[in-house]
Amino acid sequence: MGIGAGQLRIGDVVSVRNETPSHHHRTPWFVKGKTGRIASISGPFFNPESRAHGGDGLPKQRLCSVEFRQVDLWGKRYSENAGDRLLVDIYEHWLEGR
Amino acid sequence: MTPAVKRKRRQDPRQTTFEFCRCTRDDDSVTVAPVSRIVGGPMPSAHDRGGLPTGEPIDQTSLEWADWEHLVNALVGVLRRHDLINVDELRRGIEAMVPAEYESSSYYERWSASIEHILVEKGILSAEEITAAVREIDAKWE
Repeated sequence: MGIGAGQLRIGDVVSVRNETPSHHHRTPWFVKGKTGRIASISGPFFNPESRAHGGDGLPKQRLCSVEFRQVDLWGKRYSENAGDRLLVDIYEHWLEGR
Repeated sequence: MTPAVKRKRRQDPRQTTFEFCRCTRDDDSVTVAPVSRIVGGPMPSAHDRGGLPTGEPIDQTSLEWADWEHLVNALVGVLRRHDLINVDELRRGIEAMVPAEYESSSYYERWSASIEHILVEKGILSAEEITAAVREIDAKWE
């Protein structure tokens, strides 16, 4: 679990856990291990990692919209504007404050 | 699973970004995946494909719904309303598809495969019942 679950705030710089558990999870591969900034927070919502496997989805998790620099995600492969950002919704327990 | 990796080019140690390669899964399906996900990591799931390169342009044509697709959509609605399946289970069922099958299936074919998977897993339907029903329908069409 990410440190300080439920305590992250808008504007916080966060890293995404670099893990690939075998159970269902909604964190895309290309943000794992990457660092971004929380742009907004919604929820809390039932945890899909629990609900996908017969669980009750509790404790609920907040969903953080994390802003990444496209070049941080794709490096040299990203040939558009260097300032471009990508927003990805990531459940809070996948995030670690920096 | 140990993928047979065919490198397109040698990995540059200075390169901190993803390098892509074609790899073959156990079921002989071929996929494109970042080397960083294969070396020392689990085989990439077929569904987790955001940002992967594609050799062809994305077809953005709006498709007409087929009758059976309306049925699959309605079926999921009913199953959800009766708490027999939830959207997270539906997604897990899709992710459980054999990669080659996943790649060759359309959107609602994947939903349909997942409904079967989840309902059989929960003991609501048996594989035999589904096979028998499919045979019955096939017979009507012959």
